[in-house]
Amino acid sequence: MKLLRYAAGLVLALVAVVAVGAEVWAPAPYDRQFREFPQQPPSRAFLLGTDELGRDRLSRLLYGTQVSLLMIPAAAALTVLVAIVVGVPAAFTGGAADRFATAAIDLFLCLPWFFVLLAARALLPLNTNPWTSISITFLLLGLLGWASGARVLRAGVRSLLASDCVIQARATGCSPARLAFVHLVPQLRPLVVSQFWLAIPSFLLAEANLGMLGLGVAEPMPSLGNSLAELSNIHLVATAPWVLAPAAVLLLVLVCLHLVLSRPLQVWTRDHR
Amino acid sequence: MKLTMWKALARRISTLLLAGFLAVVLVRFAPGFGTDERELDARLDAASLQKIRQAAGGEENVLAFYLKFLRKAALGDLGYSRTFDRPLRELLIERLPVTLRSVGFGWLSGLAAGFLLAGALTLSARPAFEVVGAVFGGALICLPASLIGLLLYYAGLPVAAGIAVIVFPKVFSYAEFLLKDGLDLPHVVASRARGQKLIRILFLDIALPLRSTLLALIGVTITAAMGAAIPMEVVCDSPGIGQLAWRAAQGRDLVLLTGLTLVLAVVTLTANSLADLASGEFEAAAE
Repeated sequence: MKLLRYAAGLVLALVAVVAVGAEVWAPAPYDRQFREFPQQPPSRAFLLGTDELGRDRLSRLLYGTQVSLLMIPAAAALTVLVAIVVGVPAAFTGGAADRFATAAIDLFLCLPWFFVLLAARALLPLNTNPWTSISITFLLLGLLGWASGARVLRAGVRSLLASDCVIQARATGCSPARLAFVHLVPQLRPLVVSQFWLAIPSFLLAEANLGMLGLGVAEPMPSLGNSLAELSNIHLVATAPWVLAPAAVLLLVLVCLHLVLSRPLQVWTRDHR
Repeated sequence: MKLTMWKALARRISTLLLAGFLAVVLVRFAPGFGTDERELDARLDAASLQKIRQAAGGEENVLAFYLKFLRKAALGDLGYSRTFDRPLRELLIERLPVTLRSVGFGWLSGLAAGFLLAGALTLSARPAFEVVGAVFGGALICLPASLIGLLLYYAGLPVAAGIAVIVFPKVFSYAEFLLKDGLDLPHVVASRARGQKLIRILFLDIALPLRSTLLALIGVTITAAMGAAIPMEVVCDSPGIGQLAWRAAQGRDLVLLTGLTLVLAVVTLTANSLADLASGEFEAAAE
């Protein structure tokens, strides 16, 4: 199993290197249109074929991975951080703070945030810089996606506070800070890791849907999310299965991430229990 | 105890009312509000256009609109939907059971499948199964909801199946990480050393102490299931409230969106409250 995790880590590093160096590895610029070769199947000239505008799919995949792999993990980390900041202290302190946080979480889960995103787009100028639009989109996704994770983290902390090890730690005079950082936080790792892992594809797909509103990654800049949105055309998938390549890359990244994250601190947490 | 319950109920009702008000604010100040595409219809005369504008006139002041909505709702009148040209009460009575059935079956199926697979992988503890689980869960979560809906539609499967597919990876991921991490707990290691059966360890030594977290997870997946109902019902053309929500959002139908937000808030708050209540009961029973 250790060998498998090392292999997964290696694959992730390779994907990161290829994505960051997309300008080096890509056979053509992502927006270059080979108008005489639209909707081509894979060939020596175009390893993953071309799209309806004659753009090289491999180049768009490499550049898209660059955009998505830079921004999505950051947005996922932000949402996990907000969930921790809201859920953990509330459950730890209890009382009014816990009740307020619970109400805030429930409120966040109910509201139609689609309109916040519409309003955000309306506030941006029409000719906004693509990277500005991308950054704002992922910032919003990170700030709006924390509620369910915060609820689960809160329940986890409450459960841990009632556990024997924490009661014993308190009985031996453990300070609140030490209790929180040494006894509670490490045991929240599976919840934090799950939320991070789930947020990545969710945000990718959300970013693709937001493209319809003019937010997110605007054409001609590619992203994994935009490529996944193409899969909704089921006839295209049936006739040109190579369009599944972005989904395959995403799946590979998710599986490797899952293997790397599943028990990386196993030894550390065992020594500190 | 009774006072605590009443206080908790009062807090939930306050949250519900606040959710409705904030939804009204969000919609009211969203771009496109107040613009009715019927005004672009060249066949309509000035009197008809004036009537369309007047119908939307009462929605300018958010607080007045919301208070009026609540006052009428208390008397059983939930207002009139511009988009569907029907009373909201009628739409909800007609469509809510459809969605509740789909979401109910889909959510339960996704939950059961997620926990069963997570449990099976934890019991097996084989690297190959872990990879298969990661691939399976990862593949389902990578697919757009609309694609899942289309595939199910072509396969002749109901909306509930799509909701189950969307709920499953969330439950599976959390449950798998939690249960696997539990295998390293000292009391679990001690139980295994004593030769206890792994399935007994899984239920009594790992899952039972995690009941609060697992119940909270069950609560939040209902919100995910209700959210999944929107694209599923739109793609599969199922006449539920998901379809209502989509059309309402497109048309900025304030009355419909307020009503639907309140329905979603009731479901979310009920699910989370039941999860909290169940955790509290278990804790008390344990003491």
